[in-house]
Amino acid sequence: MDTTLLAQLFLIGIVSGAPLAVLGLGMSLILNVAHRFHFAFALTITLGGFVAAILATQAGVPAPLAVLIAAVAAGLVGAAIEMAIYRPLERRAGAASLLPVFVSALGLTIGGQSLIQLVWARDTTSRPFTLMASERLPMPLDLRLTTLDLTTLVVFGGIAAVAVVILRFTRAGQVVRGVRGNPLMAAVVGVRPATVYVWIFALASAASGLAGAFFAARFSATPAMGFDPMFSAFVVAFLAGAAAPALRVVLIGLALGVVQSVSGMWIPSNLTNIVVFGLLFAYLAARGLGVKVPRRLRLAGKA
Amino acid sequence: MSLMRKNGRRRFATVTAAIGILALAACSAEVADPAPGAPEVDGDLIALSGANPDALGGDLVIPVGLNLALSGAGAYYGEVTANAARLAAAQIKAAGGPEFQFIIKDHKSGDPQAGVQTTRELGQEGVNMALYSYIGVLGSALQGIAEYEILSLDGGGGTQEFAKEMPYFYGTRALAPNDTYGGTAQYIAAELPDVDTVTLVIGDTGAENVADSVAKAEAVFNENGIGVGAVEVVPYGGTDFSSAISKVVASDTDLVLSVQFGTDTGYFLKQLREAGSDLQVIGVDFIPDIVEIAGPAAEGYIMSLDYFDADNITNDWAEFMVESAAAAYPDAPKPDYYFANYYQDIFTLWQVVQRVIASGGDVNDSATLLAAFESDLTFPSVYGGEPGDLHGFQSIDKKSHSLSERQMYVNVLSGGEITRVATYGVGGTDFALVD
Repeated sequence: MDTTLLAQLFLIGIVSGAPLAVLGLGMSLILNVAHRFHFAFALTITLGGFVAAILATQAGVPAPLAVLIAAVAAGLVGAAIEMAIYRPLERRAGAASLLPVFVSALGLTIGGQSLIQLVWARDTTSRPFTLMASERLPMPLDLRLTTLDLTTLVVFGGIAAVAVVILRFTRAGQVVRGVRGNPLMAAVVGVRPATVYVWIFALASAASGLAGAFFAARFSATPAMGFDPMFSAFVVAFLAGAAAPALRVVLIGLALGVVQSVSGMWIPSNLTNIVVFGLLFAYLAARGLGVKVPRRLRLAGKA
Repeated sequence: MSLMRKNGRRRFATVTAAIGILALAACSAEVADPAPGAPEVDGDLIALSGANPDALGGDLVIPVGLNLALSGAGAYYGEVTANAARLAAAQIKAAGGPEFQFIIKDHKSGDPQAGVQTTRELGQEGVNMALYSYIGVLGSALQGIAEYEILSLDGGGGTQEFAKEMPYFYGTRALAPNDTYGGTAQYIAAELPDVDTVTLVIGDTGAENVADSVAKAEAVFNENGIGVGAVEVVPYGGTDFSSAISKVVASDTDLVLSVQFGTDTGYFLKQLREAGSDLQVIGVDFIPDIVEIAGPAAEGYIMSLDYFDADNITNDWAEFMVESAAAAYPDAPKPDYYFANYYQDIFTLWQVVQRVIASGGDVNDSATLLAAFESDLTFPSVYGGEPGDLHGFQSIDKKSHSLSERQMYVNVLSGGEITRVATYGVGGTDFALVD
């Protein structure tokens, strides 16, 4: 076995797993706290990529600032989706809101992607931009790691670490866990679940926009760029489980990136995506498929 | 607020949204008319395009289907090819030819269901001739094309292997990679004698396609004394090739043969150089986006295909096409091979119509059109020829329905310029280095 190649693939997996971990954490919170099947996560990833690329290449905005603005824009869009679309649907449909929310998310994603293509990708299939000069860093074993790789690790590793600490050790985290467990009881003690959902959407979407910006810097911004990371985020969230602590979600995201990369040692690169969905299938097959109506929706339906 | 008013506002919002969505969809399917600045067309175009001056067909209105990628990932190229067709039709009309009335369909960048549906629609609308892309929408349109007997040309994807010999369906693009291997191998043998082994990086276009391409590569390269070492199958339409590149770099290879298309090549080149590798890459495709994505990493990229170089014209018709495209679409890039293929394909259909007129046949009869097409499968082309020639030529093989003759080139991207270094025919015939 070529141990150098294995080490390189492992390193690649860590670098690709870092943003995946953050995306998975965001998706996990949206799924398990706000109880939304938020397919439009792909839209905020794509939006982040394009906003960063357009600002950096056409508006003369310094690339790091463009990335920051992209994250904020994605966060605002995510919050708006929850407030203006999902919440009204839930009010009307009550316990049966899962499907309308999913369908609306799907429509938002397809429509949003088409709009992005019409406005920003009409005369080109992709929009690359340079976040930083990607220079190779000195590494042992002749492993390859660039400055962009290291920045990705630091940024998303930092976000994941901060999120884990906040969710585990702070009052804000306590609030989130409380709402996840029993939103009605949380409301009784003065927490407003609706506000918590909006914040979760805002922060998770901002993180997704940031990830989109980094993907655009590493590859380029393309209208369909959000789908693969969104699906991977779903897989991470499902594998971690509904009540998973944040640290478990992050570690599963990292592990997914590593497994996907390292599996390329033995199978062709075009098939490594199968590993991701294969793991999900194995998990679902082992746990069994069941639809759990969130408790607050069940109680809301009876009111 | 009363319930009635609430419901009324909701209905209004719904209708407004629906109209907005339809408008959005309509915008994405729009095809530009050639701008008023298009040059006057005179009798020269008849000579340039090899048309028959005694059978122009100026009193005819002929529906032609354009089944293209007008939405989705390939929308940009759908627009390019539609514009090319529109320019050709306008020029033919101005030169005294028929009015080609386009019926435009969107196969959504290779959606098989869309391919079947749009082909059915073309057939039911009585269309007898059409231009396709994406290898007949990845083969999904082939059954409908045969059923409705629509003479169809595909200058975007050609036939590849799986769409060869299909009734009424013909490819007007050299097959990549199979038709390029001969020229590429001879170029390597002549100009890169230190290369003993190549690694094949091939986009996944289906197991059968991949296996066929690999087998063909091994046969052709071995014939030229070059070994095919590792074969790495990568996602088609992907962006992240870091794992594959790690394996390529770890393999003992002298050169990478990239069988990837579109922007894939740009991402691959960029990541290969970021991985610290200076391996020479020879590819089978080139679009300007490759340079946009790869940046400096694209320097030295060698491409081997039937590439149309608007800065290196080889006949007068090609020059006319480039000039008129610049006048008609001043904001568009110079014509590439997609533009060239679809432009000349409309003229090919005009040739077919002219043959039917000359023989006194019915231009609305599919069988008659097919017979006229197959009566002589050599057509004037904007490819090939020598400076001073009116046009070049291309030929289609009657059995395979794929190109048997088309000028192909080996070009090097250097200093932002594309430099021709070798020429060859389909399969590597008549290979010659350029001085």
